[in-house]
Amino acid sequence: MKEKLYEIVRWAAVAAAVVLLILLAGGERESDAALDDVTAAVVAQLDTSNVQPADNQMIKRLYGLQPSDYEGVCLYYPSSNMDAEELLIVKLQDAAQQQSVLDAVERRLQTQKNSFDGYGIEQFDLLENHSVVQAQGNYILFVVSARSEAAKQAFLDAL
Amino acid sequence: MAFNNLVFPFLLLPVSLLLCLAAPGPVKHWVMLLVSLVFFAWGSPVCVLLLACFLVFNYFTAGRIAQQLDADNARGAKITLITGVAVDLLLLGFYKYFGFLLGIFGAADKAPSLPVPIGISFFTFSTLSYLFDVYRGTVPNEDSFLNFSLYVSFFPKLVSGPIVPWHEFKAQLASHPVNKERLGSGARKFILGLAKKLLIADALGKSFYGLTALPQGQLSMLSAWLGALLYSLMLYFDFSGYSDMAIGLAELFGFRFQKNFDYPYLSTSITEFWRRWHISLGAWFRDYVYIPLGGSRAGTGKTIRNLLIVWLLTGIWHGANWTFIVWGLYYGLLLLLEKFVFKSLLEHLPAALKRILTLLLVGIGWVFFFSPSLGAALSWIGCMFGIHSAGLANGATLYYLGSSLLLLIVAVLGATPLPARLGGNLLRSPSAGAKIASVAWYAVLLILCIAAMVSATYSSFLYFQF
Repeated sequence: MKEKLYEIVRWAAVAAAVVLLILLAGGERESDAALDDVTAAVVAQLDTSNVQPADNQMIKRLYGLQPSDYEGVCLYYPSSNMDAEELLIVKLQDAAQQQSVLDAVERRLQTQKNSFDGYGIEQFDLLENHSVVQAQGNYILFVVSARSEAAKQAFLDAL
Repeated sequence: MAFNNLVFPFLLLPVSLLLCLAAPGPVKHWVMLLVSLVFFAWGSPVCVLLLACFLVFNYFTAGRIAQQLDADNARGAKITLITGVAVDLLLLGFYKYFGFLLGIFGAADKAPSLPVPIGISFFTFSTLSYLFDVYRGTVPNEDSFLNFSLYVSFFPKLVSGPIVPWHEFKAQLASHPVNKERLGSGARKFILGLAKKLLIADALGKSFYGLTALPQGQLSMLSAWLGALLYSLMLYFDFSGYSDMAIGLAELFGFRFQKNFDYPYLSTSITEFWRRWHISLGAWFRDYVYIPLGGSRAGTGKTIRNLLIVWLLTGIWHGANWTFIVWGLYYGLLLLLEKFVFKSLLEHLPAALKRILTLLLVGIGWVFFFSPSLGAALSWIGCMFGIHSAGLANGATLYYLGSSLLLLIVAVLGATPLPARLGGNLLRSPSAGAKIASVAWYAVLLILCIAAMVSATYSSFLYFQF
């Protein structure tokens, strides 16, 4: 009886590890989706009247990221200094780039919060309570918008 | 989590040490296990679940082997051992080599990107040694799941070793007193290791990475040798620093582990180098691969085969890249030449010449270790011998040599027993002045390390990748 129990527990542990690995691999798998398709799906959920598309120089200036280092980078940044809405989507070349992009996003968010802290109540609220940072496999999303949750869902669905 | 993360020395270590000291006898090991799991989970909490599966599987595998041996079912025990080893190696292989194998077939992008459990190579090897020992009957099967789990996941040795044999750990589980001698000795080793990493290895790294970032065609012959020298010293101070910290931390909790480095760059042969470098890994391969294969007692042909197998596996263990495989075979070849071809010639060479020769060969070997690809390694080695190099020396050589010269002198002296001898003399001296000087020395080192931790960007240990 004890012998059987040992065998059952051994293989149950293996089965649990396999299930865990499958779940992890499924949750973090790399996406083949094109950056343009993902961006279009996310933009469709947002009001883009207060943002404008950025070129490579602006991406480097605002985030310190070199777009050529990545599979692709798409940024919509505020049209004026009085707006805080923003959208950044990065498709990574490899997983090792994830942390540096997340750090860059964190710095940008902090800079914006510092800019609006004390006088731009609505903008600060957007940055504080309606910003989303989502890393999923080889993609990273950063969005500041009243509809950030819908944008996040569209992002996940598009991958 | 790494030992050079500010949270570790200022929060996790003091809190866990106080909890362990305060905990009554039977609870102490639970506290240590909990601390180890927190340490393990820091980067990716989900990996704890995987570790739990790993622990349960191996605990019951060892138990099952013991049951079968007790029932004189040798064949059953062998099958259980084989399945146990296979599952452990499959898990290790999945994390370390799956992407590499897919890459061979041009499908590297299909590899799942999963959080890798830290120290998987080290805790898998610890566990395998335990399974082998139980099967051979050299150690009894451990009844306590707590003791087994603590052995595998004990945080000082979890991430990068040393790979401690079960019998050594078990012998200390019953009694590992935390007294002022062990606290003092452990703290000194920890501070020394931290200083090796933060003050020497990381500083050497600045010049080394600067050299590796030189545009193609700007690497001179001397720059290539300087790069190999900088990396040789950086890797030594990085990994031996980590080992010192691990051994010191274990001592803070009352455990004493064997040293993992013994001044390897003073070796007079490659054989001796591998007896002094990453001692616990060399001992593992000797005890669980080389000797079971027949070692050197089964004739020349089999000795050659056994050595090549061990070194191929050592290379593969270090990583999923052709560079590591070639690096392993490079050492296999060197050891064969040393043992069978140049033995009598080497015996007649002066010790100083043998040391220099060993250092040169080891330095060339590290080029495979730090290069991202085999092509890059061969190109670097080519530069070391003037092939496609930017001359003998250039401005970059002078800049990096000038900026790291003082540090190189400190590092070279630090790689000899001289500092330990001086420190030991101070400690043992009856004079109060010497004792004060010793305490002041460690206090200054600690302050410098804290300053380095606060001001510098976090730098991982090189051996974490293995």
